[in-house]
Amino acid sequence: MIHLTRLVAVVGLFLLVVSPAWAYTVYVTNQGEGTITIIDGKAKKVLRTVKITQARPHNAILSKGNKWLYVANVGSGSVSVFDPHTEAEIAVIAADKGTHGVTLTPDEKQLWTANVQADTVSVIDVASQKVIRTIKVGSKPMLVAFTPDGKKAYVSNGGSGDVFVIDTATYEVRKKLFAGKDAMGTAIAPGGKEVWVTEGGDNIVSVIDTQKDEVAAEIKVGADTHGVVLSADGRRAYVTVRKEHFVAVIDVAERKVIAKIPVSELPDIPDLSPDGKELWLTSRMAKAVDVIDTTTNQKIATIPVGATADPDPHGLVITK
Amino acid sequence: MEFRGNVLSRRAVLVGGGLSLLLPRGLRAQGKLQREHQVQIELPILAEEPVAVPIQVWVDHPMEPDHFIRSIEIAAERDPVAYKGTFLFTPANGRAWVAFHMRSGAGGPVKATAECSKHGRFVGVKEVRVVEGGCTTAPEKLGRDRLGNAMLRLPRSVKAGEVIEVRAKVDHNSDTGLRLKNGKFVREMPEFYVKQMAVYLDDQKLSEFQMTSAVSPNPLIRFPLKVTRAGTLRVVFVNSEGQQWEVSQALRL
Repeated sequence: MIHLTRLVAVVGLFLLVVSPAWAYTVYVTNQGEGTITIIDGKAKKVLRTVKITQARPHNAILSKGNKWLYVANVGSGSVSVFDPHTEAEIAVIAADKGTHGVTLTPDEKQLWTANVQADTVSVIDVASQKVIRTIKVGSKPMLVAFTPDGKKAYVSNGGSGDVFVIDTATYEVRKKLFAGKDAMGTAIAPGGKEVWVTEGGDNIVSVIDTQKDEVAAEIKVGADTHGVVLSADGRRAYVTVRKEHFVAVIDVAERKVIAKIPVSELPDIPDLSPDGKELWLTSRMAKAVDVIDTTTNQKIATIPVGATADPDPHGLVITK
Repeated sequence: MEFRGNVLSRRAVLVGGGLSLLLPRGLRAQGKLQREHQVQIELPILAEEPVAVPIQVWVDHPMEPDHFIRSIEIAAERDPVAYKGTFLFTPANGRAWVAFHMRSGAGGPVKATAECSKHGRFVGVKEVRVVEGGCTTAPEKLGRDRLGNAMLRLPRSVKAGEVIEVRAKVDHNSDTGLRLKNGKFVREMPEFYVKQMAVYLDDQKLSEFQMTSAVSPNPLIRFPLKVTRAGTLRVVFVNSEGQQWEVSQALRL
């Protein structure tokens, strides 16, 4: 019995020390120069900045197991398929004008892109790398989020100030929800019962009940709310507030801002480290990414990115 | 007058005070009212998107049946389409406040003029800088395939007596029809825009927003409403070609 306890302790210690969850990689898309900066998350050190063929890489997403990095290129109207292992762009999929956001369906069979200059969503078959459907949505679609069962997609339309709810089986728009101007960031809460949407024009975050597809709550946050990410336990939401240069920490249950963390100028897209203890975000005017310790709500690092004088870092995604 | 930094000297105060006593009583009173009911304007320091410059205007003023703000008019004199619009209030609004997005090609001083039912006009001015192109930026496409989709959003819970924020919007392009050619503004096509938003509680008209083509595409307008009773809130949009879109929502207490 004593041997077993010792064995468990040793294995536990081993996992704690060498757990792959502790090591992680951060990918930053620099739209000003058409590059991807790759950062060692633990060391907080830039490893490389890699050029891609497409213009203005904007938002990005990783597939499960971090096998592929998909990058929405707003300047080229395309999605770059980037291999994180070889650190090379291996394919380009044409989408539609102004490909702003890219999201994988939960089964990872499709990529949906929000095309800001075309007012469309492109549905891309991952296997054939072809657009199989184009859906008309509102004005200036920004991002897409899916319920965990993959049955519904939520598209934020910044120009028309609404969120479209799309049935993924029929590709039909089922409902249009009023959102503020510059509706942008979308994040599905763990469990899928809520979608959080930033409404930058109204300086709020709206919480959409995905059962009723109604706005369940509005939270006043600050001037020009933009990116949003929720913690894995669903207790905290982190929102970048672009014009006031802070990250708002929101208590999800209380629907209340509990901290405002000053960050570099023009904070944009956030993501959490795999253990949730660090929040990383792009800061466009600072030409850098900021790192926040979520246990103390303090900024702990600012890391310059890009290879030129004006990288304009925008998208950010972390391996999980 | 002598100024020491931001501090007015004693002599300056005495001279200024003495001079103000020489003004007619009516003008002194108007000056006092102007200070009390200063028109407030909120604009970005630098508007990055000239076709959609967010603006908020308000006046702290009673909204009583016999004494209220009738209207707020907004204009930016340097813009090719200077006049942006006029929001007409009634005491039922509860506050004199409106927010929307406007086009601004030149920036510069934005003037808001509020009209009081008793005491004439109050004026506020604020500067805005814009990236070039607002009033003459044509929509990327003049698509008429997506007009309408009028929507309303009210707070989730509403109590009698409180002043709530109402948000109303409609999908619609806007085009001033002007283009910059060799340094001059030239009309190349007729204007196309949402020209009016009328707001009703059941059959009672509460407010109206008279707009121009210098209001942004897909107008989203925020305005106040003092809740005194339940009813059906109805908003009717009319465009420059006479087309109408209507949306209504129950106002429950």
